[in-house]
Amino acid sequence: MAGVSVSHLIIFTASLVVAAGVAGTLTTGVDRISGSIEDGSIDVSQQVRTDITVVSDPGYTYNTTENVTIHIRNTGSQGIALQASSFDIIFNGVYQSPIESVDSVTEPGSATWRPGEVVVLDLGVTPEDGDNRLFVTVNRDEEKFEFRAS
Amino acid sequence: MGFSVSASTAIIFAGLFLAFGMLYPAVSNSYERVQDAEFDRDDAQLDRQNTAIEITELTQDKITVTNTGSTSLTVSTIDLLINNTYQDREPTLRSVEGNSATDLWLPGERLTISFESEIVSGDRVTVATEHGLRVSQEFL
Repeated sequence: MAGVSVSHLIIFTASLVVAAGVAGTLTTGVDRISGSIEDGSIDVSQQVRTDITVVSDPGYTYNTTENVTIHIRNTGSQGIALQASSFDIIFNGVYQSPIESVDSVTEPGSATWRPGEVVVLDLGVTPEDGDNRLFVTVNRDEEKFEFRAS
Repeated sequence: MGFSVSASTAIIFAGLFLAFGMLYPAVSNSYERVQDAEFDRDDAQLDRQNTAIEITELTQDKITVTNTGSTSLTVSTIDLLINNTYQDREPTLRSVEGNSATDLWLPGERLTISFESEIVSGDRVTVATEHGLRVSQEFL
Protein backbone atom coordinates (compact mmCIF):
# COMPACT_ATOMS: atom_id res chain seq x y z
CA MET A 1 0.00 0.00 0.00
CA ALA A 2 2.78 2.46 0.95
CA GLY A 3 4.85 1.62 -2.17
CA VAL A 4 1.84 2.18 -4.46
CA SER A 5 1.10 5.60 -3.02
CA VAL A 6 4.75 6.75 -3.32
CA SER A 7 4.88 5.88 -6.99
CA HIS A 8 1.53 7.55 -7.46
CA LEU A 9 2.93 10.64 -5.81
CA ILE A 10 5.99 10.64 -8.06
CA ILE A 11 3.92 10.32 -11.23
CA PHE A 12 1.51 12.95 -9.98
CA THR A 13 4.37 15.35 -9.37
CA ALA A 14 5.88 14.59 -12.77
CA SER A 15 2.63 15.32 -14.57
CA LEU A 16 2.26 18.61 -12.71
CA VAL A 17 5.82 19.56 -13.66
CA VAL A 18 5.14 18.77 -17.31
CA ALA A 19 1.94 20.82 -17.24
CA ALA A 20 3.73 23.74 -15.63
CA GLY A 21 6.48 23.50 -18.24
CA VAL A 22 3.95 23.59 -21.06
CA ALA A 23 2.14 26.55 -19.51
CA GLY A 24 5.43 28.39 -18.98
CA THR A 25 6.60 27.85 -22.57
CA LEU A 26 3.22 28.98 -23.85
CA THR A 27 3.24 32.23 -21.88
CA THR A 28 6.87 32.99 -22.77
CA GLY A 29 6.16 32.49 -26.47
CA VAL A 30 3.03 34.63 -26.36
CA ASP A 31 4.91 37.33 -24.46
CA ARG A 32 7.52 37.50 -27.21
CA ILE A 33 4.86 37.59 -29.92
CA SER A 34 2.89 40.37 -28.24
CA GLY A 35 6.08 42.38 -27.78
CA SER A 36 6.92 42.13 -31.46
CA ILE A 37 3.30 42.93 -32.47
CA GLU A 38 3.54 46.16 -30.48
CA ASP A 39 6.92 47.05 -31.98
CA GLY A 40 5.66 46.29 -35.47
CA SER A 41 2.59 48.46 -34.97
CA ILE A 42 4.76 51.38 -33.84
CA ASP A 43 6.79 51.05 -37.04
CA VAL A 44 3.70 50.82 -39.24
CA SER A 45 1.97 53.78 -37.60
CA GLN A 46 5.12 55.88 -38.05
CA GLN A 47 5.26 54.97 -41.71
CA VAL A 48 1.59 55.80 -42.17
CA ARG A 49 2.04 59.16 -40.45
CA THR A 50 5.05 60.15 -42.51
CA ASP A 51 4.29 62.32 -45.52
CA ILE A 52 6.64 64.71 -47.26
CA THR A 53 6.09 66.98 -50.23
CA VAL A 54 8.56 68.74 -52.46
CA VAL A 55 7.89 72.49 -52.66
CA SER A 56 10.68 73.35 -55.08
CA ASP A 57 9.56 74.70 -58.43
CA PRO A 58 9.98 72.05 -61.15
CA GLY A 59 9.55 74.68 -63.88
CA TYR A 60 12.70 76.46 -62.82
CA THR A 61 15.73 75.63 -64.95
CA TYR A 62 18.56 74.63 -62.66
CA ASN A 63 22.12 75.72 -63.20
CA THR A 64 24.61 72.99 -64.10
CA THR A 65 27.38 74.77 -62.22
CA GLU A 66 25.61 74.86 -58.85
CA ASN A 67 24.85 72.02 -56.43
CA VAL A 68 21.31 70.69 -56.55
CA THR A 69 19.22 72.01 -53.68
CA ILE A 70 15.65 70.98 -53.05
CA HIS A 71 13.08 72.26 -50.54
CA ILE A 72 10.86 69.67 -48.88
CA ARG A 73 7.93 70.21 -46.56
CA ASN A 74 6.76 67.84 -43.82
CA THR A 75 3.07 67.37 -44.62
CA GLY A 76 2.62 64.37 -42.31
CA SER A 77 1.47 64.22 -38.71
CA GLN A 78 4.73 63.51 -36.90
CA GLY A 79 8.18 64.99 -36.60
CA ILE A 80 11.18 63.47 -38.37
CA ALA A 81 14.74 63.52 -37.07
CA LEU A 82 16.60 66.12 -39.07
CA GLN A 83 19.78 64.36 -40.11
CA ALA A 84 21.25 63.19 -43.36
CA SER A 85 20.59 59.53 -42.53
CA SER A 86 16.82 60.10 -42.48
CA PHE A 87 16.83 60.68 -46.24
CA ASP A 88 17.45 58.19 -48.99
CA ILE A 89 18.21 60.05 -52.19
CA ILE A 90 18.53 58.61 -55.66
CA PHE A 91 19.58 61.21 -58.20
CA ASN A 92 19.57 60.21 -61.86
CA GLY A 93 19.78 56.57 -60.84
CA VAL A 94 22.70 57.00 -58.45
CA TYR A 95 22.32 56.64 -54.69
CA GLN A 96 23.66 59.78 -53.04
CA SER A 97 25.70 59.18 -49.93
CA PRO A 98 26.71 61.23 -48.07
CA ILE A 99 24.46 64.20 -48.67
CA GLU A 100 26.18 67.56 -48.42
CA SER A 101 23.79 69.09 -45.90
CA VAL A 102 20.23 69.20 -44.69
CA ASP A 103 18.91 72.11 -42.67
CA SER A 104 15.59 73.63 -41.72
CA VAL A 105 14.77 76.94 -43.38
CA THR A 106 11.79 77.73 -41.19
CA GLU A 107 13.60 76.98 -37.94
CA PRO A 108 17.37 77.05 -38.57
CA GLY A 109 19.41 74.86 -36.26
CA SER A 110 16.47 72.67 -35.24
CA ALA A 111 17.11 68.95 -34.77
CA THR A 112 13.53 67.94 -35.50
CA TRP A 113 11.62 68.42 -38.71
CA ARG A 114 8.15 69.20 -37.43
CA PRO A 115 4.91 69.07 -39.43
CA GLY A 116 4.63 72.24 -41.52
CA GLU A 117 8.36 72.96 -41.50
CA VAL A 118 10.43 73.18 -44.64
CA VAL A 119 13.97 71.86 -44.98
CA VAL A 120 16.54 72.42 -47.68
CA LEU A 121 18.57 69.49 -48.90
CA ASP A 122 21.90 70.12 -50.60
CA LEU A 123 22.99 67.07 -52.56
CA GLY A 124 26.58 68.11 -53.08
CA VAL A 125 26.44 67.24 -56.79
CA THR A 126 25.64 69.36 -59.81
CA PRO A 127 22.80 68.46 -62.15
CA GLU A 128 23.33 67.03 -65.60
CA ASP A 129 22.57 69.05 -68.67
CA GLY A 130 18.99 68.41 -69.76
CA ASP A 131 16.54 66.20 -67.85
CA ASN A 132 17.18 65.21 -64.26
CA ARG A 133 15.21 63.03 -61.91
CA LEU A 134 15.40 62.91 -58.14
CA PHE A 135 13.77 60.44 -55.74
CA VAL A 136 13.61 61.36 -52.05
CA THR A 137 12.51 58.67 -49.60
CA VAL A 138 11.82 59.29 -45.92
CA ASN A 139 10.41 56.43 -43.83
CA ARG A 140 9.14 54.67 -46.93
CA ASP A 141 7.38 57.76 -48.32
CA GLU A 142 8.88 58.36 -51.75
CA GLU A 143 8.62 61.64 -53.66
CA LYS A 144 9.75 62.23 -57.22
CA PHE A 145 11.10 65.52 -58.51
CA GLU A 146 11.95 66.03 -62.17
CA PHE A 147 13.52 69.13 -63.62
CA ARG A 148 15.71 70.47 -66.39
CA ALA A 149 19.12 72.01 -66.06
CA SER A 150 21.29 73.94 -68.45
CA MET B 1 -3.80 9.21 -12.05
CA GLY B 2 -7.24 10.71 -11.57
CA PHE B 3 -6.34 13.88 -9.75
CA SER B 4 -3.16 14.58 -11.74
CA VAL B 5 -5.20 14.87 -14.96
CA SER B 6 -7.42 17.50 -13.42
CA ALA B 7 -4.51 19.35 -11.85
CA SER B 8 -2.41 19.49 -15.02
CA THR B 9 -5.43 20.50 -17.10
CA ALA B 10 -6.08 23.28 -14.63
CA ILE B 11 -2.46 24.46 -14.87
CA ILE B 12 -2.54 24.45 -18.64
CA PHE B 13 -5.83 26.35 -18.73
CA ALA B 14 -4.43 28.90 -16.32
CA GLY B 15 -1.44 29.30 -18.64
CA LEU B 16 -3.79 29.79 -21.61
CA PHE B 17 -5.76 32.48 -19.78
CA LEU B 18 -2.53 34.26 -18.89
CA ALA B 19 -1.32 34.11 -22.47
CA PHE B 20 -4.60 35.44 -23.82
CA GLY B 21 -4.51 38.22 -21.24
CA MET B 22 -1.10 39.29 -22.55
CA LEU B 23 -1.93 38.92 -26.22
CA TYR B 24 -5.27 40.70 -26.38
CA PRO B 25 -4.17 44.15 -25.11
CA ALA B 26 -1.09 44.06 -27.32
CA VAL B 27 -3.13 43.28 -30.44
CA SER B 28 -5.87 45.78 -29.66
CA ASN B 29 -3.41 48.58 -28.81
CA SER B 30 -1.44 47.90 -31.96
CA TYR B 31 -4.55 47.93 -34.11
CA GLU B 32 -5.75 51.19 -32.53
CA ARG B 33 -2.35 52.82 -33.03
CA VAL B 34 -2.27 51.99 -36.72
CA GLN B 35 -5.92 52.98 -37.13
CA ASP B 36 -5.28 56.38 -35.52
CA ALA B 37 -2.39 56.97 -37.86
CA GLU B 38 -4.58 56.03 -40.83
CA PHE B 39 -7.38 58.37 -39.66
CA ASP B 40 -4.93 61.25 -39.44
CA ARG B 41 -3.56 60.48 -42.87
CA ASP B 42 -7.02 60.19 -44.41
CA ASP B 43 -8.08 63.50 -42.85
CA ALA B 44 -5.03 65.17 -44.33
CA GLN B 45 -5.79 63.62 -47.72
CA LEU B 46 -9.35 64.90 -47.60
CA ASP B 47 -8.11 68.38 -46.72
CA ARG B 48 -5.67 68.23 -49.59
CA GLN B 49 -8.44 67.26 -52.03
CA ASN B 50 -10.46 70.26 -50.87
CA THR B 51 -7.58 72.69 -51.18
CA ALA B 52 -7.03 74.75 -54.32
CA ILE B 53 -5.25 78.04 -54.90
CA GLU B 54 -4.83 80.18 -57.99
CA ILE B 55 -2.47 83.04 -58.78
CA THR B 56 -4.62 85.99 -59.79
CA GLU B 57 -1.97 88.68 -60.09
CA LEU B 58 1.80 88.85 -60.21
CA THR B 59 3.54 92.21 -60.23
CA GLN B 60 7.09 93.37 -59.61
CA ASP B 61 6.58 93.82 -55.89
CA LYS B 62 3.78 91.46 -54.90
CA ILE B 63 1.79 88.37 -55.72
CA THR B 64 -1.94 87.87 -55.16
CA VAL B 65 -3.28 84.34 -54.74
CA THR B 66 -6.94 83.37 -54.35
CA ASN B 67 -8.14 80.46 -52.21
CA THR B 68 -10.37 78.67 -54.70
CA GLY B 69 -10.85 75.57 -52.57
CA SER B 70 -13.23 74.82 -49.72
CA THR B 71 -10.78 74.65 -46.81
CA SER B 72 -9.34 77.47 -44.76
CA LEU B 73 -5.59 77.86 -44.97
CA THR B 74 -3.09 79.33 -42.54
CA VAL B 75 -1.23 82.42 -43.70
CA SER B 76 1.82 81.80 -41.53
CA THR B 77 2.52 78.38 -43.04
CA ILE B 78 2.46 79.41 -46.70
CA ASP B 79 5.79 78.99 -48.48
CA LEU B 80 7.10 81.42 -51.04
CA LEU B 81 9.97 80.72 -53.39
CA ILE B 82 11.41 83.13 -55.93
CA ASN B 83 13.61 81.46 -58.54
CA ASN B 84 13.61 78.38 -56.33
CA THR B 85 15.12 80.36 -53.47
CA TYR B 86 13.13 80.07 -50.28
CA GLN B 87 11.85 83.37 -48.92
CA ASP B 88 11.47 83.70 -45.15
CA ARG B 89 7.96 83.56 -43.79
CA GLU B 90 7.57 87.21 -42.93
CA PRO B 91 4.09 87.88 -41.48
CA THR B 92 4.33 91.64 -42.01
CA LEU B 93 4.59 91.13 -45.77
CA ARG B 94 1.43 89.04 -45.94
CA SER B 95 -2.14 90.25 -45.84
CA VAL B 96 -5.53 88.71 -46.56
CA GLU B 97 -7.92 91.16 -48.27
CA GLY B 98 -5.87 94.01 -46.80
CA ASN B 99 -5.81 92.60 -43.26
CA SER B 100 -2.27 91.67 -42.17
CA ALA B 101 -3.25 90.72 -38.62
CA THR B 102 -5.31 87.67 -39.53
CA ASP B 103 -3.81 84.21 -39.86
CA LEU B 104 -6.84 82.74 -41.62
CA TRP B 105 -7.11 82.56 -45.37
CA LEU B 106 -10.70 81.57 -45.97
CA PRO B 107 -12.22 80.21 -49.21
CA GLY B 108 -12.73 82.97 -51.74
CA GLU B 109 -10.31 85.39 -50.10
CA ARG B 110 -7.19 86.79 -51.70
CA LEU B 111 -3.78 86.64 -50.07
CA THR B 112 -1.20 89.23 -51.02
CA ILE B 113 2.47 88.54 -50.36
CA SER B 114 4.85 91.45 -50.92
CA PHE B 115 8.37 90.71 -52.05
CA GLU B 116 11.33 91.93 -50.06
CA SER B 117 12.97 93.09 -53.28
CA GLU B 118 11.45 93.63 -56.68
CA ILE B 119 11.52 90.81 -59.19
CA VAL B 120 12.53 91.15 -62.81
CA SER B 121 11.19 89.69 -65.99
CA GLY B 122 11.94 85.97 -66.28
CA ASP B 123 11.78 85.32 -62.53
CA ARG B 124 9.60 82.42 -61.41
CA VAL B 125 7.48 82.72 -58.26
CA THR B 126 6.14 79.65 -56.45
CA VAL B 127 3.57 79.56 -53.65
CA ALA B 128 3.02 76.35 -51.65
CA THR B 129 0.34 75.65 -49.06
CA GLU B 130 0.27 73.45 -45.98
CA HIS B 131 -0.62 70.26 -47.85
CA GLY B 132 2.16 70.73 -50.31
CA LEU B 133 -0.13 72.14 -53.00
CA ARG B 134 2.03 74.33 -55.18
CA VAL B 135 1.42 76.92 -57.91
CA SER B 136 4.08 78.67 -59.95
CA GLN B 137 4.14 81.52 -62.39
CA GLU B 138 6.79 83.26 -64.40
CA PHE B 139 6.89 87.02 -64.29
CA LEU B 140 6.81 88.32 -67.86
